[in-house]
Amino acid sequence: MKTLLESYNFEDEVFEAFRLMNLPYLALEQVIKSMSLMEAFNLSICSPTLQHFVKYFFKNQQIKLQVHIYDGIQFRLESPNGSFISIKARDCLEDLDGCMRMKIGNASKIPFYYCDPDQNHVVTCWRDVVKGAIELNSLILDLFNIHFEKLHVWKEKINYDYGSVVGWINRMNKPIENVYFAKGTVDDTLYSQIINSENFQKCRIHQNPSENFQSQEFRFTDAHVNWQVFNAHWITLENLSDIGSACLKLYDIKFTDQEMSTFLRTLITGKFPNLEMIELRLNRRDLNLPLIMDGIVDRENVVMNWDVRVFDRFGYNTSVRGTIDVQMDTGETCSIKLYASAVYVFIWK
Amino acid sequence: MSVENAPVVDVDEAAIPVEKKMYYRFESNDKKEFRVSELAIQQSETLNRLVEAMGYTSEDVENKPAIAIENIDGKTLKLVFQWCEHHKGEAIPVDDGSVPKIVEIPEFDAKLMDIDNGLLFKLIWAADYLNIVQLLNVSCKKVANMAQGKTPAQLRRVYLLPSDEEDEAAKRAAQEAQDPRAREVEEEFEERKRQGGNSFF
Repeated sequence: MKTLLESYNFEDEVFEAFRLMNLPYLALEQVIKSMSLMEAFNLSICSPTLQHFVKYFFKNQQIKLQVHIYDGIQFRLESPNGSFISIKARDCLEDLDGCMRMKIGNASKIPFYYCDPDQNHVVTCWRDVVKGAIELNSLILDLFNIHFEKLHVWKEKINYDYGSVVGWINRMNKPIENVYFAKGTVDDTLYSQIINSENFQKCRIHQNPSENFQSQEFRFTDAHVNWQVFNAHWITLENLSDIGSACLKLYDIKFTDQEMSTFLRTLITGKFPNLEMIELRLNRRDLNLPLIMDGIVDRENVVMNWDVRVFDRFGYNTSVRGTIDVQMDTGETCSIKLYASAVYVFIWK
Repeated sequence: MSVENAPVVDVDEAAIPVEKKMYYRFESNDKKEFRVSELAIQQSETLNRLVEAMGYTSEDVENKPAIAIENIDGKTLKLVFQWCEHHKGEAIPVDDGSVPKIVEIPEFDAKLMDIDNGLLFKLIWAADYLNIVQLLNVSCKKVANMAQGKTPAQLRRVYLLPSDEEDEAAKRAAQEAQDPRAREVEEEFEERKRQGGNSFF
């Protein structure tokens, strides 16, 4: 005879429970491995034993993680076969009556709902969005073999404590392949924490610190592999005295002609061994080109190179022509392209 | 049960080639007998090795007792052999290691597995025991599909999963089973605590 637990009415259809945990190990493995990411995730939060199994069976498969931070914090997981799920932490809805609830990490009875018919998008509701994201993040990182692919932050859409967000991002301590901070004015302390993070390999920062912001100790290290900094008015020659990056694009910098010349002269000594491309865009359009190239090339015999070469590295595909090519102290050639408001340097490795 | 009366798995006669093929006889644990083609048996690594090891001739197959499969009942074994006959000659899939696994359930298999969960459970056990890779794949996929669109709370009911508390209790029970003294020590400790003792010793 079936017990009440074994047979029940499930959305008007009578289901007979399937004794999953009584399956032989190999079959249990096949069942869990045949589940989509969402099903495996849901199963993992049913019991610590199943969490262990999901973790064990999925460990060989690298799952890409993207985190989008805006009015909530969304985790998008994608398996190599293209199946994906999205789990979002958002602030508590006013009316939670009738909402489904689940245990997530150390938090119990967290309201949640699906926001698509395929149930690939689940939204979890928290009193503190960042704490919710921390719970979800640790669960996801523990459960799956994660390759942290993207982190996108839309500061202007964040309606909760941005300081907690930055603190959490910094504490993640996991390399992230591609990071994007959308525009928005930020507190100088938080901005400083962001630029000093050594977890962002490729990073675009549109955020704006105050006009007076400075960070004398800041250097682009080899952890800052490929960075674009918009609103880089705060960058000084001292900040560029040592560069470990491979690609740098700095916009709105406030270098004088003399500073630009000094920087280029340092660059051609080969002091920055990793550097392959740097783009310096100024906040003015009156660069004195002869002055900044003084001491780098013979001004009387400048030869322009109009051959088309392609800089095809670090995700860029840039046609390079109309440059002044300079032999560096290392024997490498760098191509310098000058505009009234910008200087580009390509170092051919 | 005599060979003549044995329930034979339905086989499409037209599909059987003219040349003489060997049909092995198997007996379930409830004494039901089945005749299964040599080619169909190849789907089961366990049975294939068994018959190879036995080295039966056509005469042996007819004259010797049916090969007993002790831990599978007739109802389940019938499904297993129906599946093997339908898929005979097909290549045995090799796991490419990808997760989540992509498994398509063919129409025939879906119909075959249109059974209650109790029988499906036995079918999976049989597929595992007889090492029938593709039958295990499709039957496990059917079980995995039960999770589609279910919340964690619903999954607990679908798969009869223990609650967090039950899971913890089971773990404790398992630990105690390994170390019966643990419970006694714990009780003694609790008793001393009640009595206001500061130290266990």
